[in-house]
Parts: sequence; C-alpha cells; structure tokens
Amino acid sequence: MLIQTLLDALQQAVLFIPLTLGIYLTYRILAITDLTPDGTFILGAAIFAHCLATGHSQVFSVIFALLGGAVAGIAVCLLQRYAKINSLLASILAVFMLTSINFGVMGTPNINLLSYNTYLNNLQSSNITHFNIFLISMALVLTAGIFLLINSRFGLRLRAFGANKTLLAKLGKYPTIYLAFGLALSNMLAALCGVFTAQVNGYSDIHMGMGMALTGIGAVVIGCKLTSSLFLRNPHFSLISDLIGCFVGTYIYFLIVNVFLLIGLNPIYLKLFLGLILVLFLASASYSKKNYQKVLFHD
Amino acid sequence: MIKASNISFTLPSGTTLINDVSFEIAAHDFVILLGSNGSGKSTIIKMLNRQYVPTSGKILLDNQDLGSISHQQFSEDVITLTQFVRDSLFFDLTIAENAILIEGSYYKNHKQRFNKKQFLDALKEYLANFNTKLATSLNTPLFNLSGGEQQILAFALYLRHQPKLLLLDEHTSALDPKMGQTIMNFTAKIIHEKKLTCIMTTHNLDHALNYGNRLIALNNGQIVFSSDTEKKETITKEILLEKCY
Repeated sequence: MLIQTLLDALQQAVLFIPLTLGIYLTYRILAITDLTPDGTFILGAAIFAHCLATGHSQVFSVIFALLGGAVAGIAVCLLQRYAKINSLLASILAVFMLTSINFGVMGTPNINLLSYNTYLNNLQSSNITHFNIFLISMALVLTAGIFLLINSRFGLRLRAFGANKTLLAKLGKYPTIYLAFGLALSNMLAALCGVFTAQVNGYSDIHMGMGMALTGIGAVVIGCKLTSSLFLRNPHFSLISDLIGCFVGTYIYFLIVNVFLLIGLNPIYLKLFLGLILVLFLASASYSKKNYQKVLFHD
Repeated sequence: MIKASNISFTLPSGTTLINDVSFEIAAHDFVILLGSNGSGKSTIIKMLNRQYVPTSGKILLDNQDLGSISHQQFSEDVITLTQFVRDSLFFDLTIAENAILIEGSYYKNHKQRFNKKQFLDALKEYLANFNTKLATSLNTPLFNLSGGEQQILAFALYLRHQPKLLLLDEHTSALDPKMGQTIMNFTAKIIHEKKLTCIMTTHNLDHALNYGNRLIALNNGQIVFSSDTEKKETITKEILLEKCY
C-alpha cells in the first residue's frame, strides 16, 4: 500500500513536471508571480481536444495547444507592459478571460478523448512501464532544456530581468523581450502539462486547471527550499539545486495529496489542508530569508 | 563634447527643478557639480543620462542631440555610477555574471564573437589590477562583497572600455570616510589614466576643491558659480559655503 502510494505520487509528479518548470521560470527566474497557468493548463487541453475532435492529427493538436499557451503568455506580457497592470493582477485577469476562451474553444464543458486513441492513454493501457519511461524521459528532456537555457547568455539575461529589470534596460537590452519569452515558455509548458493530463485522464474539462499555478508555486517553494538547505552553504542561486528542487517539491506535493487521501481525509477538505501546508512552507521560506538578512546586516 | 543650451526641467506638478541652465564641457574635463540638497545637481545628471527629458532646451553630445542616440549606443557612451551600487550592478548575481552582462552588450554592439572562457580568464587578470579579492572571487555573489569592493567593481566593469562621458552622482556618499577617500583617490586615478570626461556631483567640499579641473555650483536650479582651471585653485571653502548653502 505504502509503495503503491509512493509510486502513484511519483507518476503524478512526473506528469506535472512541465508545469512546475514553467512556474519555476516565472517565479524564481523572472521573479514575477504569474497565475496564468491556471488558464493555460486548460487552454492546452482544450485546444488539443478541439483539434482532435475536428480531425487533426495528434502531433498538430499538440503543436496548436503549445502555440495557444505561448500566445496567452505573450498577451499577459502585453497587459503588464502596455496596460501597466502588475504581474499578479494581469495573470488573474488573463485567467478570468481564458475561462470564456476555453469554453469557446471546447464548445462544451468537457470533451471525452477516450475514443481518439491518444498516445499517452494508449501507452498507459498497453504497457505501463513504457508509459512511465516516456513520462520520466519527457521530464528529463524538459529539465535538461531548461538547464541549458538558463545556463546560456540569454538565460543569464532572464535572471538579470528577475534581479533588476531597470538595470537590464540601462545596459541597452529590452526587458519586455525577456518578459515575453519567459511568460510564453512558462505558459507553453503549462499547456503541455494540460495536454498530457487530458490524454492520461481521457478527457478535457473546463475546471481541470483550478489551483494549478498555486500548486506549481508550492512545489517550487517546497523543493527549492529543501534542496538549497541540504546542498548549499550560502543562499546563492544554484541551478542544479533548484531543478532538483522542482522534482523534489512536485513529488512531495503529490505525496502529501496521496497520503491525505490514504488516511481517509474527506476530499472536500483536501485543498484546505494542502493550502495550509503551502502556507507553512511559504512562511518558513520567508522567515528563513529574514533570519539570513539579520545575519547579513546586523551581525 | 557636451553642450547644454537653456535647459529647464519642470515636474508635472509645476515645480521647476532646473531653470534655464546652459553650460559646455570639453573632452577630458573633470567637472565637479556642487550644490545643496534640492539645488538640481542630480536632476542635471538625470537629464544627461536620459532618465529625465528636459522640458525645454537641448543637450548635445558630440554635436548629436542626446535623444537621437540609439539605446545601445547610449548605454556604451554614457556611464552613470551613483551611491546606490544596485543601480549599476546585479546584487543577486556573481562578479563573473555581472561582467558577462555588462561586457556582453559591448561585444554585441561591436559585432565581436564572445568566448566565455577567454573572457573570464582576461577578466581575472583585469580585476587583479583593481583589487586582488575581486579577481579571485569571480563566482562570489555581490551581496557578499563590502560597499567599497562593490563600488570598485562597478568602476572596473563599466570602465573597461572608454565611455564618452562618465557621470558620478555622489558615488562615495554611502561609504565610511576612509573608504570614501580611498574610492575618491581611485576615481581620480582612473579618470586621469583613461583621460575620461567626467561630471561628478558631491556635497563634500574637500572633494570639490581637491579633485577636478572645473567646478559648477548650483542653487535653486540655476548656476550660481562656474570656474575654469585657474580660478578653481583660488576658490576656498568659505566661498563655496557662501555661494551654495
């Protein structure tokens, strides 16, 4: 029972990794709070389901879904840059508007995908080992991609945006380009996560994305805090530690979900308890930062 | 080199910070801009680095209107260092990362190929001329350096290539007197060696008298006193106190 719970949590976590990596990009690298993945997660699933239902191939359906996520990310960037709306509010507005768009794309509150023989659904029912290998490989490839991106000079400028975007502009760069790229990639990854989830679940549903962004932020906070306190002597940035943190955080999050369900917690209260655990981690991250600042500035 | 003609700057609220000021600065001049709080020193610096656009009048840099210079070219031509090192360097990044970001723009503008390994080797050697600790701590984040080390690093990284104009806005005021003096000597040495054109604002009358070849004093947004090299040697603290404060 315990091993099954651990394995279930691992499978759910690996499926969720694209979204965590997207959130990592905005929350830790660009240093903005973007909740748009709540909407783009469903948008990805909705576009994928709509394209399949209208006779497009699975590959094209996935490409359209990813493009949908990227366009939504760029739209949020435009809201921030030209309408001068702060990042959090812009993303809340985007999710608000995406609710209608997602409904419009799907036409109905949900689309059943079981009859379309989707790749992941097929793989899951035919060979669970191959299914798990595919998910793990996909997660590793995406993580390697993010590692290479952040390690590049372009990635350094993304970090510089998060550290001080005014100074980045002073150096002759256009911060909007980095914001647009980061948001587009982050929401593309959220859309990809939506596509995977729709394929695995066998349906796309208008309510399937609620709380996804917060879950991602929680996973990033939990994971990065744990790995940095385990591996790093000072609180400086370490990409490897952070990316391991994304995996660890996502796994712990889903492990907690599974443990709650295993001990018989009423699913109605699941989000309440998960929320309380996130509060605990966010608060502890904040307090440890304050303690560090005390050491740095007063000792 | 720099020609400011009848420049004024008025806030949207109607408060005039600079009122019809004109001055010329020749190449290799080291000009001290002196004045009390609110006299308009920093406003002039901000107009010269395009943070503020004059509400009237114009500023020419090498006979080119300041506003017409491209964003990237301007970031190379005019360097501003202030007491707030955070305005010049990324605190959360390491020395090497800061150097790559600052130098990367230069390579791109000059269409030169950037080789990270070669660059970091050369950087180590270059920084050793300024401070040995900086040269051996390329992977140290800036928040682990002292205020003085951060200021030296800013100088070193931004002045690796010759800017047309260096603007220093009270850049030693956040440092203790000893470190402030060290940085000021360092500043003067760099300006002299690189034959830079520099405008420096300060409240420190000793610095105003001991450094630079010209002095401009401001009060209530207007120039109340301006000197050339000969006159500057005859100026005393008493005269400056009377004119500026």
